[in-house]
Amino acid sequence: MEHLTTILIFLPAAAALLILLLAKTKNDALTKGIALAATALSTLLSLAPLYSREFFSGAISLGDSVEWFSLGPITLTYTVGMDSLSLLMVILTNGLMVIAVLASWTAITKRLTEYYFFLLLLHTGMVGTFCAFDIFLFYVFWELMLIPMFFLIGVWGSTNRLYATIKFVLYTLAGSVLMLVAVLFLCFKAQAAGAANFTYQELIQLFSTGAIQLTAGQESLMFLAFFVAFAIKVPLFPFHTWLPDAHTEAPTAGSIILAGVLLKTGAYGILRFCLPFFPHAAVAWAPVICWLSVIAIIYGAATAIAQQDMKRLVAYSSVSHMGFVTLGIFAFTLEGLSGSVLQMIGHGISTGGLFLGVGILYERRHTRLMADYGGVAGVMKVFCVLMVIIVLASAGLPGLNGFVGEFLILAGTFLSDKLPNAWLFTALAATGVVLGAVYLLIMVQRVFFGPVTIEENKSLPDLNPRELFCMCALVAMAFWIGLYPKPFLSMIERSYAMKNIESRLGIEPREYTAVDYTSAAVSHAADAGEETLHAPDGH
Amino acid sequence: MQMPHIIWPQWLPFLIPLIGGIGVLLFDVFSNPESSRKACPAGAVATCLLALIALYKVFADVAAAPAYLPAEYPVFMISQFSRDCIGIILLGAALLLTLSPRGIAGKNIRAGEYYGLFLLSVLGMMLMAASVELLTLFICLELASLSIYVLIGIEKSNANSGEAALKYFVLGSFASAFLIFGAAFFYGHARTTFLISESHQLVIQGIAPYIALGLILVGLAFKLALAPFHLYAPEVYDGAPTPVSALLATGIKVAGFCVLAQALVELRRWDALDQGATWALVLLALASVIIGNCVALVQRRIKRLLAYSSIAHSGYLLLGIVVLSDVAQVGTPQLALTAISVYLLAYTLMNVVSFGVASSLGGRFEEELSNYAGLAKSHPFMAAALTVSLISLTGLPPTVGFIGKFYVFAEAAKTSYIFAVAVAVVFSVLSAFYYLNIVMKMYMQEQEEGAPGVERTLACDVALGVSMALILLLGIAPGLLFWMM
Repeated sequence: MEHLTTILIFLPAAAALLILLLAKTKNDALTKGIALAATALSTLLSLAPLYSREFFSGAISLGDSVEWFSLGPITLTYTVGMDSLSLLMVILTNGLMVIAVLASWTAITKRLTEYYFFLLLLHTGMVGTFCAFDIFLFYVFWELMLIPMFFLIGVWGSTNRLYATIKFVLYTLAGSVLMLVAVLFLCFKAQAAGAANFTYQELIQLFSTGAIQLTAGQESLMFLAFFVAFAIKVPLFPFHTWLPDAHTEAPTAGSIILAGVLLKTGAYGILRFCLPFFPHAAVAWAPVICWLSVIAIIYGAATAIAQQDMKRLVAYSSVSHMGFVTLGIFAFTLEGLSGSVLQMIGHGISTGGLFLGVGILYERRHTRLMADYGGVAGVMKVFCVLMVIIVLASAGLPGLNGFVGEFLILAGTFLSDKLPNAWLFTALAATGVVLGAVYLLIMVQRVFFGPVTIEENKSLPDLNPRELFCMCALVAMAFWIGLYPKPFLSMIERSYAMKNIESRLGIEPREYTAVDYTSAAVSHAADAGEETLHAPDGH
Repeated sequence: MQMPHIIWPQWLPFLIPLIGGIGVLLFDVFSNPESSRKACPAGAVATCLLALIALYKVFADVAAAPAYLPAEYPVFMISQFSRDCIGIILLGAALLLTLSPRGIAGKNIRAGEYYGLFLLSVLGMMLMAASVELLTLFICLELASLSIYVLIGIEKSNANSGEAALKYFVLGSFASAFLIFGAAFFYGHARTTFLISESHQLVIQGIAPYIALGLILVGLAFKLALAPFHLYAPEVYDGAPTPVSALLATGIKVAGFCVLAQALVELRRWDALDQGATWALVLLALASVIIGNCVALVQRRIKRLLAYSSIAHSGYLLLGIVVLSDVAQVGTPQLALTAISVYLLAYTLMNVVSFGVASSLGGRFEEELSNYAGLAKSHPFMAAALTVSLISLTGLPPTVGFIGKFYVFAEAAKTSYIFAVAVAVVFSVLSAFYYLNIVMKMYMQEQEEGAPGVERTLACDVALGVSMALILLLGIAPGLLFWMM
């Protein structure tokens, strides 16, 4: 339990090395088995902290901190650990990795060893990103995610993969090198302020005591350097153009991980670093960012309506849904922040499910165009039921995960006191919810309903047990978050990250009076999430 | 003049390559070509490794106080930094010599001449890195350069090789003339040819010393292939036998940067520089980064691409050097020097692997980039080695290239020239495109025609494997660097 985080980070990397060492045996079943075992074991291990009471004390725990190497008077450390925000993200990552491995089971047939090697290396990078509490280490893990994804898209992707993969790399790298400059400058400032290392706690300490002095201009530039790196990953409009290509060309597992986890690393970075480190700049830039978020929500949804390719449609829906996340974060309210984190998890599950579903169809028909389907509901009955649930979850139907997050974000934005014209953002963002239903239901209608017009579609086999397991797991999670989000919300609220954001931005817990109808619903949402569902549902 | 009293053990690291180089040349004269083809490379590699061991044994404790050679007339100074630079030169040379038998196979090159001259040029670079007196510097630079002029053109039947040699010779002589002219100016003003000395202080007044230093800088910038003195590099790298190109890209640059860094430390010690000098270096660095990266984007031949990439890397390194000259900078230069030596080691390892893969595969793999399509299938080990080195050149973790870049930029970010760091990293994004383009060709494209059957040799595998392992190992555990150095 002591070194749990380290184990979680390096278990996949160890499995990746094992796969590489056993490459000579050419045993495909063994390779897949190792990958599945490693990811499944990671998932089980990452659930363990949930049973520990001390874990929820709002500090970073279960970690390690040792000296890595030193740079003059400064020691760079290997400091990892988890607060409950990290833990949520790690569980999401591990769970989706299991599904990604299962989704690749028969879909990937060439160069298996390399495929699982890179997939597991990516796993290490992602978990490391969520658990690193030294800014240099964070940057290392952040960059570590890049190369495996580059290979996953480039080698195992579809026709236009080379263009997509280099575009992905260049976009991401452009953002992260600017972050590197900001990290260097921050290190320099921290060193001048007397820091002995660059661990997260040390930096946050220096920031909150005011030991690190930044002029308004410096803070603004630093904030932007970090934020743009994260915004490209999220991706926020206008940095989103890599995403449709990368998602469309990636293999199914790549899309699941890309949408489910990689995009979340961006939002996680904003929550973990941008807001607590540079609160004034964050507030100053919030209107711009919220406008961009609203544009992303509407533009992503509108573009999704026009798509013929299912994967592209889901990709643009990600732009729209992740717009909600940034909007919620930069509303600077408890509801907005919690809703954003919940939306991150919910989006991981529902979009992961959508990509999985598209992948299942693709494996049977080798096409992603909606026009090549129609009437699949009659042929693949079980699949249709599960897929429609996932679609509705993504569209934000009450009772499923999408609703809780989006509702909290909208409510949080509406109540924001740091954001001018908050009502306008709320109103505009709400149209995104409607548009979301439009494009998703268009997809359902064109793919699943109507008569079967194409001969090949008449004999599509329904889900096999492996696919059934994946879909059911995601559907179960969608229901859980939708019906009883309280455990998730309380984990989010008690996290170290939230505490830092609250104290640095001066966010006070709201006091509600019984007669305040609007706020009352929200207050329930914040501290007893399950209530929110029944109130609007009942009307 | 009294003959200086020479303490022999101190000269050992330099005597070994001298004896080795002449020994190899002589051995070739008295033996048949077949046996010298086998014995010469082995002898040369052993020489470099022995010299490396001797270097670290003899100068084990220079960290406290630098050693001056010879004691009465100290034209050479072995500080911790120059010792590490010499170590890097020797390590790089040992690896390149291991790769050489495959690199010059079937090219009508006499083994003895090749390995003998190789060792002598390495000796020149070692001495150059250590020299602190301008005439000694000039002589050592010429020793390195003259051997290299011959090495570039050593492939007698290849017209490109001859052309490259002539180009390098003409332009190189021109650059040497700048250096010696600068030395003359320097003497005229300072009444000494010692750049660094314990005993006297440098006083810089008026314009003359700046002309002198400027001319010396031009001479060095040529050897370092800094823009705008880089124009020879692509042609010469492309025409020379690949291991020699690699030596040009690594050894001579390490030596040049060592001289430049030590000179700047000394000049700053006497407060002899003003802001203008620093600006000149910043502009030189940015020009190299921008030109190197932009022109590399459109290259179609592997060695030309690596040439432009090495120009860009010279720019990054120079940014680290800028720190040393920044007048606003306080504190000891030790950190910046460490950063530079880490980067030089990283840079040497990466280039050894990149050029080494090209030379080990030989033939068309030393030419057009498009020939690398599908390499991962036909030569998985070579493709993996090249990929690791390219990722390291891009500066991504977990490789030593990232650590080096981080170190150098972290130092540069402390100065008032942080904008230059920002420009450099933005242009380094471009480099990801052309480096990863090669990776894409190797892993993501299919082979166009049947692969030529290149026989793998154990020596190549060992050299590439060791370098690749070091790139990754030092990237994951950079602490080892300080244990080593």
